[in-house]
Amino acid sequence: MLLKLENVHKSFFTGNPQKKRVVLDGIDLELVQGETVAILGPSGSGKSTLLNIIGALDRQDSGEIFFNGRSMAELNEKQLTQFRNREIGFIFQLHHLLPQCTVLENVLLPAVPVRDPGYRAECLNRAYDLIREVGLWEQRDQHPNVLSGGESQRVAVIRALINRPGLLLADEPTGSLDQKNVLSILSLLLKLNDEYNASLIVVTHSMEIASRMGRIYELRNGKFLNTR
Amino acid sequence: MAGISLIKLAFNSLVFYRRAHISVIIGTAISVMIITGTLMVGDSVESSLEESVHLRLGNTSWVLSGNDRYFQTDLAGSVRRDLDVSVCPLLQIAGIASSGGGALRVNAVNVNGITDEFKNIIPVGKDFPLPLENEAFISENLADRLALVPGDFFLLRIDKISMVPKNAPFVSDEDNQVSLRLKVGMVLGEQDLGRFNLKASQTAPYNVFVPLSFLHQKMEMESKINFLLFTEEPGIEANDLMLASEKNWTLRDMSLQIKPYDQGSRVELRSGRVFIEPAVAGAVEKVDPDAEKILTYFVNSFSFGSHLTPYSFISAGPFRYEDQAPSPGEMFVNTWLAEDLGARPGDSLRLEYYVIGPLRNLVEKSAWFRIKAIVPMNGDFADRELMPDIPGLTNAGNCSEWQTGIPVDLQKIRDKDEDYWDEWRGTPKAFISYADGKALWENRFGSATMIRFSEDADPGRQLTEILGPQDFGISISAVKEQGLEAARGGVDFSQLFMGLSFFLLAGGLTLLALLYNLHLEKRMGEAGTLRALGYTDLAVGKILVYEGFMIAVPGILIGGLLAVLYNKLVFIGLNSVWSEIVRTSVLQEKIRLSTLLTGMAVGLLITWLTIFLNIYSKLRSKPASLQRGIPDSRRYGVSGWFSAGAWIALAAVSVLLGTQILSGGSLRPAVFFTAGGLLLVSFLFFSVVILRKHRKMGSGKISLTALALDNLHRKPSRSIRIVLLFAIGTFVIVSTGLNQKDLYSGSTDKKSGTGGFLFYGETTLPVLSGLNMESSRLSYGFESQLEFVQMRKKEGDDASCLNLNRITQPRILGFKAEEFVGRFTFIKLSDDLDEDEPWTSLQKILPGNVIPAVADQTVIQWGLGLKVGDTLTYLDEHGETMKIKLVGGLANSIFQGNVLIDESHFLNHFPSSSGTHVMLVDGNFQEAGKVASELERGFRNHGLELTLAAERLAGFNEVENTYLSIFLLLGGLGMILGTVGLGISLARNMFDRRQELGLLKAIGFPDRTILSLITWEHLILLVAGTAIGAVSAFIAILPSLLSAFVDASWQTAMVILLIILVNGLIWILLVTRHYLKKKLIASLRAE
Repeated sequence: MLLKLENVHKSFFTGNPQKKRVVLDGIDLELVQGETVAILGPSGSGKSTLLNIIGALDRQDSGEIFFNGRSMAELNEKQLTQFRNREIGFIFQLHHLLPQCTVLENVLLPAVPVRDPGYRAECLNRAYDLIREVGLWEQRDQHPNVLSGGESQRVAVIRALINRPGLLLADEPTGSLDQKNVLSILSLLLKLNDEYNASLIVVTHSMEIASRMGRIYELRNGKFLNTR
Repeated sequence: MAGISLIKLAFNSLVFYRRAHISVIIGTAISVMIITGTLMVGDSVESSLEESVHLRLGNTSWVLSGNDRYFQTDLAGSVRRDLDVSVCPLLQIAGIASSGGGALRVNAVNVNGITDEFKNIIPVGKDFPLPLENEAFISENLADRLALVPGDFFLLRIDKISMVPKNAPFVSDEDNQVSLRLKVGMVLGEQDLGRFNLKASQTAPYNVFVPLSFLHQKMEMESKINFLLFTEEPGIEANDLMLASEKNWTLRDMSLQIKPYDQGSRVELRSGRVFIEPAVAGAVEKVDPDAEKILTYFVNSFSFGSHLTPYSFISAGPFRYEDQAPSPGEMFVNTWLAEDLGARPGDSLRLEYYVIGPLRNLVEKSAWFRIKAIVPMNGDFADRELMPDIPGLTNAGNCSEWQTGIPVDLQKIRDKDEDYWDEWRGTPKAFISYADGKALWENRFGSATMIRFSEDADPGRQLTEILGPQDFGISISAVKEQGLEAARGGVDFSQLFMGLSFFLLAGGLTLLALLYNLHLEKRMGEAGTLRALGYTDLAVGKILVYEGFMIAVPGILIGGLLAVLYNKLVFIGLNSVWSEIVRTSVLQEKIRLSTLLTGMAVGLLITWLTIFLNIYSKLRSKPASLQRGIPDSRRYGVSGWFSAGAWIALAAVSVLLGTQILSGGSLRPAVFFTAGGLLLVSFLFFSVVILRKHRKMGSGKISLTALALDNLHRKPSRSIRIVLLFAIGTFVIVSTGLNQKDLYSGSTDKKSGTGGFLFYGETTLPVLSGLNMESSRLSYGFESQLEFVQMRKKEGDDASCLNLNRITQPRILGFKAEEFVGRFTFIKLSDDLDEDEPWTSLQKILPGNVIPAVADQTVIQWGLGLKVGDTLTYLDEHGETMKIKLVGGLANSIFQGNVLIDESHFLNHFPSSSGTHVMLVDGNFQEAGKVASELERGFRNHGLELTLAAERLAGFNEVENTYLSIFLLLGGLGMILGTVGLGISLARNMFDRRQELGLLKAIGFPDRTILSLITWEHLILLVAGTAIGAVSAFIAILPSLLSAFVDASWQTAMVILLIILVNGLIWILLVTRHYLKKKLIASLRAE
């Protein structure tokens, strides 16, 4: 079992300190290596929050999360950071490329915190391969400001894979793209999922994307409904 | 790894965000400029002061100073021979120089009598010949004042120096001065010892150098000097010089003379000072316990019945006749007197005499003595040597030539008196016991005019073994070392200008923080991404810090260059418009590489710290929050701390002001300033709480005002920084602007710094008599009804704000404390001073024989670096340590630079003090011009420097006002930075909200409405900041506002506030209008 969520709760403060808005209300989820999952739900249903909690960008209020059988609660801040770096690959709705870095540098960003020079060299080769694979070889030394939205998102996808994570978390990865690019990115994600055997959780509004995933969960009022 | 690392990431960001970094560079450059610049100013002033020490002393390292005493020139030769060192004798006296027939005149000129040895003092390479007879070398400043060039002639009036204290009984004050017509041989520049000065001051004195022998000749005196100058010699210490001076100390250095008497079988001691000083008398007792003291006094008359014998001498001593001595109340009279009065043994004679108080205050007294015997005029009873050597009397050819220093009615002198003078000179006519004589005529100068030794056992040698220079207050001081110390310990211009530039620095840093924060806000998403990609917050922080460091480098380099400019500008100011605070032309810029590097390093550290704190506060949020650009909600918990801090500060303000009101005493500026400062802190904390609290709750209303309020707390830290900038800026500007002293307001008030006096005068030559006496009024020709307070001075260094050196021995002024009752204002009192009668408290003596003293509080604090209750130590005329305790601090007064003690203490420690040099004149303010003419005419020969008391005070206040003006100017620059911050922050707000504003336009809001929305938002911050600063400042300076002596007006305050507000408003309107002209609706499409 790659990932297991047990009764995860999360709520946020509103303007009034007496009131809290419950976002996740007892979420359970299990995921095995290589599996793909789509999470659907209306805006504000807590999809991104769930993804952030799984990716250790945020903490749940209660409940347990296990990754490869190890409780995430046992991890301190440093270990969580390391976990994010090595085990998780993030793809955001907005690509969040660093404008000051070239395509190659952006792809290599996740490798920087790893101090092993051998590993870094390996990452560089992998980055070249991935850039070639997504058709951006010519643009590898260009800055994001000259890339199209689709190209930028492709860079974001391969950046998520550079450390060969076990789990890819995609938060509406095609939300800001046109139809052509949506398909292109979706194909890329699935191809890479296949090639790298990385599990994939995609948060999306699109049934078209969701239908290409192995399982679909719908999040409403903090709970999963109509799972498939 | 190819192409990427934390440093590379930082470098990429540096290049990519270069435009945004310009603001950081500016902020850094300002910080570095101020820090380095102020350090440079301090260096420059310190080095200039050090340089001025070398300029004023030449090669002089040590000085044996006579401290108002004179000793033999030969001492120089003896010490030179003993130690094989360079010793330069110097006679330095005060003089008055004039030229152009008296049209141009300079008082307080240093007249230096020098010998060939003075060449050793002249710096190497600046050799010049010494002046010839009737020739003088003068300093450049004197040449300028008197419009003299080499070859011109000028007049120099000097006081004839005399071994006899000028106010000793029977010493005449006539024929005391001599005028010299001198040719200017050379004008000495500052490199040629033109600034020669033994006092620690950066101000150049007016110097005249003449040959010592010429000076002696013109003053008709033997070879006396009052200084020995020593140059630095390897292996020679001050102690060696003092020991050599002691070894070669002679009776003549003490103005003592041993003469044989009794056919040469015994010797007697006489003093050139008329009276033998207590120190000498004490030493004689040790040498010869059986030595006999004799006191000869001049009496106005002996009378018996209707017979009267005028003006005679009487001796008190161990006189015996037929183995009998006069008992108390008895006297021997010589045959001449007995015959003249027709008196016989057993008859009682009345004698009348003057007791001479301070300032020749004559009190005629009388005493009765019964005639024990009539003695023949031979032996002791015919010894004309019993009469002391009194200048003007001893050498008088006849009685009508007497110059006695007391009124002599020549009508009373008969032919027989002239005959007696011709035959017997001043041979005493009567003899009483020493005890009787001492009881009647002992005075501060001594209690004997002669001492007879019981045997001739070389008492002179024994006396010189016991007595040394130090017994007469003559001491050696390491003038160069002390001068350099005074220069180094003087006014710290680094600190001063750092203080004055504080708001500019704070403004620069706040601007830096504000701009960097704006930049960071833009980059929070990036930080969130990196965190999401597995970067630790430390790694992200490192990237930003490296980047900050790299941005800071050009800022630091530019700041370093600007610091040089800052230093230059400050010096241009100090040498021109701000010259009031330095009063010298010696200030030169000095740039030390070490200072430049230190300043840049400190600037770098402060900039880096500012950046680091910003980064730290931002990176504390969770990655998800960072990516969203919204801080974690947990951070709002700090509002509780701010709230607590605000209430605590407010409570402290209440306690401070409550205590002040309940105590009912005078308003204490320190209390109000602290209260004002705390109020500022409290208000600022409250504003933090309000801005944050409002954000949490939401206004809940939809209106233009509600929208404006909501927007204020969208980015509370931005709003808070703007409030902070304007609050502190307004506080500084209002508190300094309104604290400026009114230079003349209330100057007639007795409680003001003038004491209500009309004039303050200083004479170069002493005034020997009491000016309130009718006789003085007549002799000085005063027509107006004037009242004087006269003050004696003990020379010292000027401790006023005009002297930049750190002073340890300020000038002492001695005066009758009761004359100041009800005048001036004390702002600090110690327990030793009676709050109701502070002035008369100065007349008491404190435990440990400590003398109470007062001085201006500014002198105590800044000039001396002390506080009320501290003690100053001097060497008195007896060579004993004199401790002066500062028991009270005066509000700014005309006595700045001086320490005031009661005259009784002054005379105890400096009995030889001859007359007064300082006078305060009480007169009608409407007749100031007439009074000034009278005074200047009356004291023309004394070198009177007369100033309106109000003008003198204004001079000191002007210095303070100059400091405040600098503060105001630099504070104003800080406010400009604040306004720039407001403008940039506003521009950034507009940019961030372009879509919101585009939406407002799209849904039909007219530009005018949007303009008012934005204006309101920022005007609220502007007004809040200004109001917080202004209210706090008013509280802080309330005592000044209520004082009659401060030039504070509500109109001025309102104008200042209005300027701040209008300036802010203009910026708001300009920036908002600029943005509204842009195509805001297009930004909606970008979304």
